[in-house]
Amino acid sequence: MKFTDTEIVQVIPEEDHSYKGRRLRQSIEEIQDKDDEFYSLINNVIVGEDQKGKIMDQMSTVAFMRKLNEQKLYMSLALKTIKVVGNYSERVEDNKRQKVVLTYNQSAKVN
Amino acid sequence: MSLEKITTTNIWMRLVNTEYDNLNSKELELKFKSIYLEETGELYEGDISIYHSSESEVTSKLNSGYDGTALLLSNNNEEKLYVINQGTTNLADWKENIKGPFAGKSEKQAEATRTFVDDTKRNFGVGDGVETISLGHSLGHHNSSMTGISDDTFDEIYGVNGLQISPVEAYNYDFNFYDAVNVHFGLRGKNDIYEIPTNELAEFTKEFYADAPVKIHQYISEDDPLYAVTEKAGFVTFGDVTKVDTKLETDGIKELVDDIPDDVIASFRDLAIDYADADNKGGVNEVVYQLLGVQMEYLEGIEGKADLLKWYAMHNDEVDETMRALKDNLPPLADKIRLISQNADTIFGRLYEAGYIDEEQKKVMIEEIGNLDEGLTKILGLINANVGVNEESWSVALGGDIATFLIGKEIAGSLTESIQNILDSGTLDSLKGIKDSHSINELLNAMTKGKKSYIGKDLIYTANAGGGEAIKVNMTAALKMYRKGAMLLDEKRTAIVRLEERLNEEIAISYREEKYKVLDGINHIEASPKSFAYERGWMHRYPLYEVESLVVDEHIEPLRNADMDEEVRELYKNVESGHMMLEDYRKAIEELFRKEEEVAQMFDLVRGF
Repeated sequence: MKFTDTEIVQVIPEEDHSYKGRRLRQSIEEIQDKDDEFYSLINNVIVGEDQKGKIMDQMSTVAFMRKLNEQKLYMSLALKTIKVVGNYSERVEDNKRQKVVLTYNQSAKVN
Repeated sequence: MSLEKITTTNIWMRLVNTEYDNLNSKELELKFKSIYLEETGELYEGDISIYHSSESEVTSKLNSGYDGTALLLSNNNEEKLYVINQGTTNLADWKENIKGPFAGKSEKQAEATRTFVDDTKRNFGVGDGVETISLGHSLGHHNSSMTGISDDTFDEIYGVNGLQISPVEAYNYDFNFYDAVNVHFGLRGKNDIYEIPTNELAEFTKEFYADAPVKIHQYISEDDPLYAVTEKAGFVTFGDVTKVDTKLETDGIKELVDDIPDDVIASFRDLAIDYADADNKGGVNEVVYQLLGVQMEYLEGIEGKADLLKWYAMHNDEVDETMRALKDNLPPLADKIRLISQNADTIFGRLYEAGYIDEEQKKVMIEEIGNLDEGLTKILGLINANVGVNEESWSVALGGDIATFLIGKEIAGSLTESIQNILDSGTLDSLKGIKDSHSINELLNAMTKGKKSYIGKDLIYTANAGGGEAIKVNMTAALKMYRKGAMLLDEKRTAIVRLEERLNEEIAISYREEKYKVLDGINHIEASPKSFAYERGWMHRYPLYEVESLVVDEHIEPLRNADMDEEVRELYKNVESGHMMLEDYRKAIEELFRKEEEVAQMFDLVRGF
């Protein structure tokens, strides 16, 4: 006579994946640094070089609006990083836990 | 493209001006290329090697304060060495420019100039045959000329508002000249040179160096204060000189200086420098401190005898410091003020006629300089009669409280009032314009016609927007923004690519690897199921039963919601819109200067370096 039993097995050990968040944030910061340099360049020309007139007013407005949008984008990138790394970590750790089906049979010793 | 263009006026003068920024080699190379493009509308396509005097050990060892940069430029088998000799620009340095050649400071710098040029040739591995051209301003030009005429260090010299050659300095620097002067004037001792009439010595110097092979080209502002004193100081000018009236609204300062006695000019110059320095730092108190060494804060609140006694009793150190400063500083100041006061009508009359000050300022200056003279004389009398400084005990003995009170009252009252009136009149601000005429910019602007002008180190284009409104565009800044802005946006794009790679590496690829690790683990379990069951204690968990088989119910989910595609797309879009913003900016400027073809060309080329 046979019957089956199930167990959940940790196939490989658990791990902490938070370092991935740090690495992604570092890459995003590199992009942000370039933006900061870009706006500082524009600001130096507009303010530092004392540029005036319609062209610079327009440039100043466009740059300001861009900066606002980019700040929103960086905010959403920060939240997304948490979500992506969280989903990844959850899925990877779930995969490591597998269901095992054990089939038991009567031992030969009984006969 | 030929190297000849480097010595077109606007290029070499701007290079000399740039040297004052002490840029590193990379920045200077970029600045050189920018200036070349802005002035010629062409890209500099030759090679550039840069060597700064701070890198030259032999030059630094001389401790002369010399500052210079060498540029070895080569293009189409043509090679020339350009040495930019830094001059001096601030007020204190200007004072040194006049005094320096007599004090021997510039002699040392001339030696440093020669040493640096020799070391540069060694460093670049070029022979003595390389054409060597000096570019300099003020003291920088002086150093080039000194070594150029006596040592043949340079083949050609370009100078702007340069300090000219001092025969006394040449006498100390050049042995041949030293011998010739001694023989010609029959000198017995070194100091005898000061006995020779200035004009005779200048004439002899001119003749002695007449055959020097170096070609000197000079541009001098007729309003430059250095030019004004050149002749009076007995300096000698060499080479072809282009004089430029840089302040059309005023007479040349030289004519003004020529009308005023030498000793008055010297006193006035010293005082003006002290005043201007102090005024920059802040107000009357600072002026009094610069002139007399007296801290006006000590005297605040002293209104009666009781206050005075309190000050004397409680703050003896302050009283001591004040009286000591007055005793040291007052006599020379009083002498200068008296000299100016005696000649006030001539000085301020000429400054008014020449357009430097207005009539009201002239009136205030004559009156207040007279009041200062009177006040200082009064204080000097009181100090001489009542204050004895004991050098051994470092204490000040006062002849009487009343004397101290009167001295304090005079300083705090009439002197500060006169100084305040002078400051309020704006005369000193008006006179500050004199030193601007020593700058390279004023001369560059005077020589540049049409839409172009210069502010600071930058090229400005002026357009008429209609309705008489002039629009100024800083072309140097615009080109820099267009070039560097695009460069930064490209770097941003590269950083976005790196983010994508990292996302792929850390999430997508890593997930696949993790999946394979799990599958490996499953295979391992299924390869020896009974061993695994034994390990876990499942084999005989149920009496009379044992594990016959073990199967992993493999379940691996695909990775979901773990990308940033939308955000990355947005980042790329921002890069594109950034480029569009720069292009719109370019178009707006091109539209403003549509008749100037070189503007579009400059924008086309600026990204090429």
